[in-house]
Formats: sequence, structure tokens, C-alpha cells
Amino acid sequence: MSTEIANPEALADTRDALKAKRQERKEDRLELQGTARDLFVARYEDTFEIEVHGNDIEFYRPMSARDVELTDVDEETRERIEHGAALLDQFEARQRQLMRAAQSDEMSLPDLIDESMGGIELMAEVLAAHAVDEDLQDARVWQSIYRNENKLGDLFEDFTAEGDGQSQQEKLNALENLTSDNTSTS
Amino acid sequence: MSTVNRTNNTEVENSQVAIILADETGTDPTRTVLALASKDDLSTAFDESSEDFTPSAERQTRQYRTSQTFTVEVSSALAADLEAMTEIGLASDSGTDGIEFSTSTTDRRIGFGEEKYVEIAYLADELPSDLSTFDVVADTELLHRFGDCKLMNPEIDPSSTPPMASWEWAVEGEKYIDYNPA
Repeated sequence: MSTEIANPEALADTRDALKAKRQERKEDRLELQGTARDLFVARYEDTFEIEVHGNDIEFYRPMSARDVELTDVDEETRERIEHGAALLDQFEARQRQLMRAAQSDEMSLPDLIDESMGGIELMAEVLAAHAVDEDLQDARVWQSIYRNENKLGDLFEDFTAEGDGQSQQEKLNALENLTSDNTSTS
Repeated sequence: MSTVNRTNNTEVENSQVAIILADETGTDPTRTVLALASKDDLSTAFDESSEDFTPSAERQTRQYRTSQTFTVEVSSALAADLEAMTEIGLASDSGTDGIEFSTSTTDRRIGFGEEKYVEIAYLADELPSDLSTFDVVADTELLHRFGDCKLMNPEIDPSSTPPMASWEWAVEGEKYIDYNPA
């Protein structure tokens, strides 16, 4: 059978319409240029570390690239930023959807459990997409290290807080200790 | 039950996908492009919650032994050719402007004893300006082939030009994820 297509004219119209739609979307996006672009990329590449079981894990910073067009950024970096940001958006959208479903009794408990398993996969994907170390850039690595959703969730929260989660927790613990000391001495 | 051997994490690079109807019933077999979609708008799923995967995102070798239905979901696509869309039951020429879906059970079945099947072509590059030079096999990074497809949940939005459509296919015939017709 011929590997050519039978309707090139119809396809040409669709291709052009698709191009026009893409262009329209592009025009709607905010184009980051000059200092704004440099700052955006610099912030992403200003990595932070989270200590996990005695290992310092380095992450790129989570960014929102939903409505921005990054021009004059090398292809690999741009794709990495956009991929990570898209996964984060997907995770947040899923959380909102689950929250709504849980509140409105739309989902049964087994379905909610199934859905939360998908959440673990997505969290692992986000961490993998932001890990600087190549050995940690595979979501399956994160899933094999953390079988437990809560434990992975703790690390994920720390990641979205850009590493401040631990210090915030330490401050909270210190405050709690202080309060309980005061209570016990009074 | 299935066994999964993951081969690598190679993702299809380009995002554009052509959904093609291949027809070998006549003396001159043809390939007609039904619609264009983005790879993110396509998924394939077994009717088991833990058994779905996106072939364009991760190449895997899998062996399935299942009696469950295999479904191809197209969540959003631009209908390239309404005349061709009538072939799969997604558009009907009896409609006022030809863009309402057909409710005929016969229209909604592709293959089933005929030499017709669906190909999903993940394009290796942007479509060329001269489409007569486009080669479905050589210019495609990954090609699926699905036979005996039943159309489900068709929707078509005539307000955009070309119309936007979404649908699912329950695949009852052959399923090739990485298909090479050569």
C-alpha cells in the first residue's frame, strides 16, 4: 500500500488552522525578555538542597511557566522548565479535583484511594523533573525509595516550599517545645 | 494479568499526531487523514485501573493476557476531513451542515471483516509544506495500528473551523503499538 495520504488538501487546511491557533496562543502568552527572562532562568537555576537521610538532594526551583513564553533560552533548559512546570500544574489541578470530589461525595472511597495512588506517581514525576542529579531524574527511582505516600508527600511539601519546609517545621517544633515547657513549669 | 518489561524512557519528541483511516478494500488502497491531534490528547487504556500507559511518553515492552477492553481515547482533535469523518461515524452527511455525529451502529464500526483499520502516526517533524511528499511511514516516529474499532462517546464542536472532535475507540481487533507496515 502507498505510504502517501489520499487527502493532502484537507490536511493542509487543518495544518494551517492548527498553526494559526498556536500562533494565537503564543500571542496571548507573556513574552519574557531581557532582565525578566534572565531573572526567571536564574531563579530556576539557583538550586536548593533538602537533606534526606543524611544526603543533600539538589533541586531546581519550582516555577510557573503556564502563561509565559521564554525566548532566547537554550532549548534544553526551556524544555526542562516547561516540563517541570506543566507537571506541577497537573499535580495541583489533580489535588483540586480530588478535593472537590471528596467534598461532594462524587467518588467512592476505593476510587479515591486509586486516585491518590496516581498522585504518588505524579509527585515522583515532579521530583524527578526537578532533580539536578541525573541518577534521580527517573520517577521510578523516587517511587522505589518512597513506597509510602505520606513520606513522599512530606518530601514533596518540602520541595514545593523550596527547602524551607524543614526549617519551618524545626521552628514550629521549637515553638511547641517552648510552649509545652512554659505549660509544664507554670 | 500482564507482565511489564520497561525498555527505556524514550519519549516521542514531536507533539503532532495524525489519525489515519487505512482502507485496503479497493483495488487502490488508501490512507486518509481523519484528524490532527497533540500527543497529550491521546491515551490508550486497558479497562483496569492500574493498566494504562501512554505509548508516546514511554516505550515499553509489555505482554498482556487480559479479557478487558482496550480503548483509544482522543480527548481533542481537529477534524481534517469531514467526508472521512463520516466513515468512522463521527460526522454525518445527513446533518444540516454535515457535522453532527451518526447514531447508526453500522457507521460506528471500522474493520469488522473488512480490510480497514486505524493508524495513529506520531509525526517525526512538522508537516511539510508540500503534503504530497508526506510519507506516513518514513516521516513518522511511532506508528500504531488498531483493527476492528467501535466508536464510543463521540463529540464534535462545529463552532471552530476546522471542527474540534473527541471520541473513544474500543479496539476489538489487532493492536500494534510500534507498527512497521514494511
